[in-house]
Amino acid sequence: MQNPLADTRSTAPRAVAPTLSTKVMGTLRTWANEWPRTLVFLVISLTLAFFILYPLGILVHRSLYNFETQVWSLDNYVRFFTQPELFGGFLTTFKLAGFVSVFSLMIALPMAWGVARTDMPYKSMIRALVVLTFATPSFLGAIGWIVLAGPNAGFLNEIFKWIFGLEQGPLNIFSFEGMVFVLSLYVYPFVFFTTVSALDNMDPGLEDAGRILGAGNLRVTWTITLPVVMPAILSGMVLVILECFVVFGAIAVLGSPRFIYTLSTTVHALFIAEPPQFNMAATAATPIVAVTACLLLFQRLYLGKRKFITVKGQASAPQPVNVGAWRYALFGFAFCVVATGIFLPWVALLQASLIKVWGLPITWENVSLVHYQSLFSSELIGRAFRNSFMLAFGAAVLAVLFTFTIAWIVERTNTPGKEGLAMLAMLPLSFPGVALGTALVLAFAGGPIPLYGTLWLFLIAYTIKGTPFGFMFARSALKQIHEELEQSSRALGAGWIRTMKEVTIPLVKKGLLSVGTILFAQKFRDAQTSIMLYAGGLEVVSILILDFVEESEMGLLGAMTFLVLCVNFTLIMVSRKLVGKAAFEV
Amino acid sequence: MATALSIQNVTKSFGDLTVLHDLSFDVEEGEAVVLLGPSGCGKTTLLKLIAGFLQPNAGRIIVAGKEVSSSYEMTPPDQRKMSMVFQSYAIWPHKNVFQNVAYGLEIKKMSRDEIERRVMKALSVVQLDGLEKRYSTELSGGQQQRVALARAIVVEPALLLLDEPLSNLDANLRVEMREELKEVHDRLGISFVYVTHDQSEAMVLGDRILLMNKGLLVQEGKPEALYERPVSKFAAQFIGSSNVFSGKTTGKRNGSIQVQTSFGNMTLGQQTDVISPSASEVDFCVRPEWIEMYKEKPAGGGTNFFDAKVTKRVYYGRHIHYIADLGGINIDIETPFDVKIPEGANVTLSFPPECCVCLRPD
Repeated sequence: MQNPLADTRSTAPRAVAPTLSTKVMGTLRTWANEWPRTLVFLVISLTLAFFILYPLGILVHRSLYNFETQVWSLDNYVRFFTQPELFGGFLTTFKLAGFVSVFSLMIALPMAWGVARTDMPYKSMIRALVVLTFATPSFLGAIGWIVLAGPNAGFLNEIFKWIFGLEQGPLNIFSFEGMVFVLSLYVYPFVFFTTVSALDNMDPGLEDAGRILGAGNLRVTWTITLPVVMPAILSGMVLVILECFVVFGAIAVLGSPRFIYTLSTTVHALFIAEPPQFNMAATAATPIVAVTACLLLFQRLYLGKRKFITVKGQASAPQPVNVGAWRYALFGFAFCVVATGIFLPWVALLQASLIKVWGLPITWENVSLVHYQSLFSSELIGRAFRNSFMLAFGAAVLAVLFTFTIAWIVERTNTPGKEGLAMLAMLPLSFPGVALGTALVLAFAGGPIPLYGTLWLFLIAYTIKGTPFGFMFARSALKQIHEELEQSSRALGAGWIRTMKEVTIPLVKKGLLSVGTILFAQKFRDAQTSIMLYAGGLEVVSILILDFVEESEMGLLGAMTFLVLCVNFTLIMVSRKLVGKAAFEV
Repeated sequence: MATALSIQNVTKSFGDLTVLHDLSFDVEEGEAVVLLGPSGCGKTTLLKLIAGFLQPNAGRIIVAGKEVSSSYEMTPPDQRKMSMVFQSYAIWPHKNVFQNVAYGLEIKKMSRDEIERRVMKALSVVQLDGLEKRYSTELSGGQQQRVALARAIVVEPALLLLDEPLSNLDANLRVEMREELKEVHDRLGISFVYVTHDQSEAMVLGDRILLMNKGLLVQEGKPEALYERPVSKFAAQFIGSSNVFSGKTTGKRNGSIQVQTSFGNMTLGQQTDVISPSASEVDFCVRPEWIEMYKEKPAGGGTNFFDAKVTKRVYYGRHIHYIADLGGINIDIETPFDVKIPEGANVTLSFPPECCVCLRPD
């Protein structure tokens, strides 16, 4: 009997070891064979790397280099931490973050539990209203609250004066308490969304197991549910704290009348000081970058590992907890929160925009559309809307294009350095608007590429700010497309570009549109980056709003803010419609 | 016959994990080669290497005489003139059946009429006439599988790669489809490289089977050769089932080996050349249906006759499965349906020497 191996095994000679030049030429030919892909990869990665890393380098350089003595030194940091008016902003930011995160927890946890776990009525309505709250930027919410609780003619103050016969209105939104109040009202959804999604995805068996062992509803909630969703709650808290460090618009409009500064407004103040203190601005911006980077790292390394929620799409929906009459209390609380966040400021803004002269009683003679008329006839305002529209549109398109390509490289290839590329796309997250603005101005005012004073710099800034969100979303969208759908196209003879055009992009189109819509909405009313880049003639929507606040043009302010809010809500709803859920709802 | 595909010393690792070790084989034009092995043995990786979606760490891949993959150079998948049927089918959900199948022809820039003619022909080959307007969500698993097949064959590739194409189908459909695939192969005469973990699929479809385990080629040959002369314990037990024994060699005589086992002395007569002449231990296997079982010891006895006791009898309809106790070892035996021996009966087992196949040490 002969060995069956003998006659069939390949007799090909062993390949000779290739020389170095064969290897190099081969690798180059491989890249050249895929030249459309290679070209796109190179252009996108290098452009992004340049516009993110170069300004960041400038920022660090400016803060660490003493331009008088021409040596590297920590002088700027020493000055920052010893001058009370600079360090004060640092402390205020910490205080603000502390208070806001406590209040956010107090608001978000009962609401999340009520919506996800109890028999509270109108649960889906509350969910939708929280989405609307989240879609209201704190900047615009703050303006609504200026109209409501401004110390002189605030709407609520007028009511209090009328009811109690007071001389002076009791509320003053231009205060530290006012900042805490407004921020808490608009950032608690971070905690709400992470907690609700954890509760929704939690295996109901965990609670049932506790119940079958004899624990009551409250005890189960306290000893099982809460610990299981704790990582999600902490994760939401991190986002809240992050927002407190980064936020600019709301703080600027609420704090500047009383000279209350946080880190981000300090950076701006140094920037526009006479003479401008660019190096100190860069120095004050670096702690924001450092703190945000640390928080994000904590969230990724620590919370990422402690995620208990692994079950997805469970077989049975959890049994809602019967809370008796408390269900109405829960609903009442939740409704008050969303009403305070959305309805009150909306109504106030609408009212302010419709009254001829701010402060006059609301009578029919006083109602007019005069502010809207001047809004639409003003050349300046028209230009601001046009600029914002074009910039937001351009930035949304560019950010989606860039992040989709990078997500594809990271998800589908083994290109060397792709992990670095992923980190690059996420880097702007730890680069808040004022810091980015500072960095871009310092990098591109004069020098080899003088872009400061043009709208191009706005476009670059908006695009960079959009990359982390775009990248996260593009990556998860690509993960949902089986790679074999693309491979089958390549196997049938289609090149990379054709495969992208005919297979990948049609399949992720809705998701990309949705993320683009949200990016557009965010950039359309961006304040924190724009304020740093602003130069005469480059008006955008948020710059005008800030001007109106300063000049107390309440009618125009109300009309403009109301319009921007409407644009914003419409876009968020469009995006939610496209994918069934807003992209940020996890 | 010319060589359609040649795999030469291919090694592939992911990080520290080496999934293919120095693998070599050829596929002739028109031949159907089946890569058979348990999941995780590297067979899908090998297919993706051939298609050009992965790059080997060492070795070369040659298609129709042209090198397409090496550790430093890759021809893109779209320039390899192959087709592939994916395990997930990869039917594009945004295109209907016609558009899915027409895709490869559109890339070749054929005329509308020609595309229509060829697509319709391909759809009739896989018996999907009349479903060309449907979308993948409106198709059953078997129909999706046929679309994937039609899409792959319509471009008339020189080489067709199939990655477990039947594994997501239910049992009956799987049997039906594997016959159809065989027919398509015989009719079109294109080379197949077919990956599966199912031995009956391999037997039906393969002109030649390559048995793989842990990234290594274990055995290669015609289905009969693999079944009748497995070279290792893994080969003996992965394809069909086998009783595997080991014993000490006590002597050799004209092509057969004498061994001493725990239940007595035996003569092994099959594939004795895989054992090195100096080996003192030898593993060997006997298929359950090759063992003969007698109620009474035949007069005169013979080689490899042993007394045993039936401990279990399971009726399968087509055959009967017995377990017999032989000196404390359980022996699997399969007999025709009409053998009637009760549990507890004393029997005599015969292991014909030409059915005792010597195995290479693993």
